[in-house]
Amino acid sequence: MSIGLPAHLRKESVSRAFARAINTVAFICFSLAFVGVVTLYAGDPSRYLLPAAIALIPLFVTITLVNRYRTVFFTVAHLVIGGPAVYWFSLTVISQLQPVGVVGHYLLNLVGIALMLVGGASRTVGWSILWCTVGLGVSQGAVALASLQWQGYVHPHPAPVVVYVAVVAVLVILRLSQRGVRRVQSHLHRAARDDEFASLRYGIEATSAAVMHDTVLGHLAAIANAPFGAMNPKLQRDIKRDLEVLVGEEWLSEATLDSTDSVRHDWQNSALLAAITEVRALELVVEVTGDLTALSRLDARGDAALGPAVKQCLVNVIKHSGVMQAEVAIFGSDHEVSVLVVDAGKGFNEAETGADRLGLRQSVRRRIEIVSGTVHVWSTPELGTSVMIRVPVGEDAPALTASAIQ
Amino acid sequence: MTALADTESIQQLDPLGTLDGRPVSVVAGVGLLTFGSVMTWATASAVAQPLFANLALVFIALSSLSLIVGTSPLRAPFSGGLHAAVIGFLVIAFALSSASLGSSAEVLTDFWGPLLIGVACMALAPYRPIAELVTMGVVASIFTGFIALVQSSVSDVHAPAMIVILYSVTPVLTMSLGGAAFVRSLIRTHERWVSRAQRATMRQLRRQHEGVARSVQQDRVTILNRDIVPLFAELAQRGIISPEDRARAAEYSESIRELMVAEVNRSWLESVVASSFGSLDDGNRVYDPHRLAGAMTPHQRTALRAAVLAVATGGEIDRQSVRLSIEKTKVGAAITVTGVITSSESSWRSSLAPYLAVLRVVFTGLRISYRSPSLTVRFTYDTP
Repeated sequence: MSIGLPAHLRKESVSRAFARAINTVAFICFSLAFVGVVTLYAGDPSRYLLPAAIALIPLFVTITLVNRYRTVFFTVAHLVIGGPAVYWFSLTVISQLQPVGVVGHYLLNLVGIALMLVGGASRTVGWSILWCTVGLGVSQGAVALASLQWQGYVHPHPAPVVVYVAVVAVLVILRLSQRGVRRVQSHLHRAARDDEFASLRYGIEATSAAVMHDTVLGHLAAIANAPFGAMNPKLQRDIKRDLEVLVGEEWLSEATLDSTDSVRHDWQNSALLAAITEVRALELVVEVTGDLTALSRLDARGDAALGPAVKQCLVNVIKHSGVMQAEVAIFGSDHEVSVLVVDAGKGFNEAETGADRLGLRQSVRRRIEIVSGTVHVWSTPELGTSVMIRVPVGEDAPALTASAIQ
Repeated sequence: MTALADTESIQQLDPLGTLDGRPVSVVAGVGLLTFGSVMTWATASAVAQPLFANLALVFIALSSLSLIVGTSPLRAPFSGGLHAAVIGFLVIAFALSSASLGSSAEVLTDFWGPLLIGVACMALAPYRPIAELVTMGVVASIFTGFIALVQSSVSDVHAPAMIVILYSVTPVLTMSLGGAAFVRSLIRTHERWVSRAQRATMRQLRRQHEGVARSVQQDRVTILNRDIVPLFAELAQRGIISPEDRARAAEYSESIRELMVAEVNRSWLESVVASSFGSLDDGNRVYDPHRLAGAMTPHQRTALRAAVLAVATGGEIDRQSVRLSIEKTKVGAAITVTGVITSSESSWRSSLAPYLAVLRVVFTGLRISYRSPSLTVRFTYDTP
């Protein structure tokens, strides 16, 4: 996934965010004005300021609607309702606070600025500026009308105009500054796409390498170590079968694209149990314990990865442990299926294994990492080896390749 | 509010978008100092304690400087401590400015103090998570209201205490919460886009899967057809193993094993460097003895991949000289990128700044060291 928003979405998203910001400012201004007039009325009930508080109620409703729906209808409705409401508010404040003074001007400016800050149906800077301009005109017109009606003169206050200029300046700067890094953003998106594609290819190559390891390399080793003369019939059968699959079929597509994310329900047919059956045919005594039904929670990809990985662990027991007994313990939780493969063989030190030893790295670790699982190995020379494989299930299972890392 | 909005800032989610918006932060930073100076000068006649007024200007300058320097893409991400410092300096400046007026203040002669705090809160909105923005705004409002109340109590102000408090907290509360709303909207847009883009990516990858699988399989089958398939076919038919068969099997096994080991050991970073530098790659540009490149997150891989490509295709750094080394640290891994600069300092800084801004956000502890003509960039990341 890329980092950040693509350039073509940024313009609109910044406009929308700015509209939400100024609507929030407007809402807070209305709230402060409400608290202000109620406080003044509570402090001196002879000043009948309750109508001013009531005048603000429709403004709370309309600014909330504008913020939620951002349509021309609600924007115009806010201004149409807001004009008379501000007039009513101003008339009450001017008539009850004589002389108007600093406190009165503060309240009038709060409401006037709030009506000006209408972040309405604006997808561009031009529309944002237009709505603010209309809002400024309506609010200042309403205040001026009330002032003219009660005092006989208009005393313009610069604060709303200063705030209007600041809002327009910020809008313009935001607009002008959205051009600088478009090229770099497109490079980032390309890098993200390349990374996703590389992860996809990596996952498929890892699956392919694991299959090659389990089949071709296994057969070549068996042939290289076989006695001269007649071939073991089972090896002959296996070679024939794998030859037909490797050359004749789209084994790779099936191996990983058996990857519908659907959850399995037939644990009896799981790849893990099939792998155990195959290894038992090689005369390894495998004791299976735990909750086998947990395997039904694996999706097809998890099941397809877990079976061969456990098989490779058991094959390693046959090849390297010096014993022919192993235990496979299966545990299930809401988030994962864990399988512990334990033997009491001669053990090994993983750090000392040769760099060319691929079984654990290729056929177990990579396979499980592709499905966002984990593998932990505990081995003590002369005491045995335990391999814990954890595979996520259900919603915790990874997307197709999202977690495949190299 | 989403969990993402509580913990992530816009700078972390969209570092390039934040870089785009930085002029607003610079203008705000310069504006703080200019406006503070002009207003101090304009109200000079009302100032009873010039020392306090001058100290207030010093704190405004400190705040302004912290804001401008801290929001630089070369210093990302902006820390919570710096956020507190910028706002704290301005609150102190407001307190000093109020004290400088003594008992000669009218109703908030120094109303510009809270205005500066509000502007700083809004300018820093893209750099910190919403929860912190709201908390900082509310805390700054409480301090501002308290300072205004104290000032009104010692001077001859004809206004109810509540109005004085409302008057002073208005710019702080409106602009800090307005900034938080701005960020919330951008984060929600980002979340919606990520969700849509993930679905589209999944569909695209499913479409590509078949073709890639076929291509990989074809590569494997080509290798198998050369030696292995004939051997297996002969043995499957003959059913007898000869000494030559054993020798051939051992030889093929060894060569395939070598090929697979080389594949397993080749990291994504080596592949990216090889494809980005093309014929210039000598195979030794990446030194990663502990195979730590694989522990990077998808975002880290994306950022580094884009930066490698920019260096390989840009003209700022001598391409022959570029080297990447990944070493183990106590808590993770450290990447050191070195190269020889071939252009002017301003040129490479402006060209590479967006990439460095992204690297700074997705990695930790990014340090740039430039001693002409050598450039060294070092950053760290956690490993499992």
